[in-house]
Amino acid sequence: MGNNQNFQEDDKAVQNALSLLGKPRWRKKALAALAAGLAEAESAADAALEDEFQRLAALWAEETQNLSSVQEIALHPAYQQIIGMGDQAIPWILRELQQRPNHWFWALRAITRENPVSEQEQGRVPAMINAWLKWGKDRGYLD
Amino acid sequence: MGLDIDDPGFSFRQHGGFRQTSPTSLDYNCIAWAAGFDDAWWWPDIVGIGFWPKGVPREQTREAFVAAFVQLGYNVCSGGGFEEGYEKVALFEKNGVPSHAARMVTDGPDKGKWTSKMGRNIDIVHDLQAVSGRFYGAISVYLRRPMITRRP
Repeated sequence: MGNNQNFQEDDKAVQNALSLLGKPRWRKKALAALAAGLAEAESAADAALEDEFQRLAALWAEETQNLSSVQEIALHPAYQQIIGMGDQAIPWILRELQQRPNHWFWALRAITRENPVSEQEQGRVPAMINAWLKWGKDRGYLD
Repeated sequence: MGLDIDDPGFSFRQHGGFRQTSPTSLDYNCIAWAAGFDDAWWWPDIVGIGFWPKGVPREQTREAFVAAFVQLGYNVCSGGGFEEGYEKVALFEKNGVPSHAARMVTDGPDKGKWTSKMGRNIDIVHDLQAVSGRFYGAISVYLRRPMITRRP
């Protein structure tokens, strides 16, 4: 009920802004208001998606901690949902890898379609982490 | 992290519990630990994330896992009882797919018990059947080799 009311108020604000677009005197202000509204909405959506990423990552970490199978670890439903987030999840995954190292390699391979880990480094987890963190820094995902 | 003696995925309560012997580590897993290594995550995954010995098929089959241990001097044997002069490994399967490996402790007060690395969790000493259950399934193969090397 509360959400519906908010949506109706948002719709009204957008309608008001759109009606002002037709009036030259108000066009600039109306466009600025629309742009600000869009930016705010985008930012709220990003924050909500990142919260969801954190929830899924914690669930996956908890439920796979005793598994050895790389495939079983990667096929966990929460991990698959994270892969489904696509490019947007890359910086969050890299930060997780940096702060709470875990098996993020499959997800990074699937999303980026790249592989900075050499054949000699396969299974050598610290080296794999370093390779992906360097990859992330080189591409501006990490400081 | 940590391991709960009442975790319904295992059978610790029915088989004597477990004793933790290491902190958690992402550096190695049960297959590496059973093989005598603690510096790599061994797994024959299809995309090449895990380490897998050269010359052994990179596939999740009993044959491939046995071949990996054969390369280390092991041969399939009939049981998991202690035999003087031999070290043993037990492979587990869940739904027909390899899931876990445990290695027999061959000296000290835990002689005859088994040691397992639990995923990226801790190492434990336990009775062999204690790790059977929903997570790892059941024992599929025993292997043994003459005791020739010292474990890390």
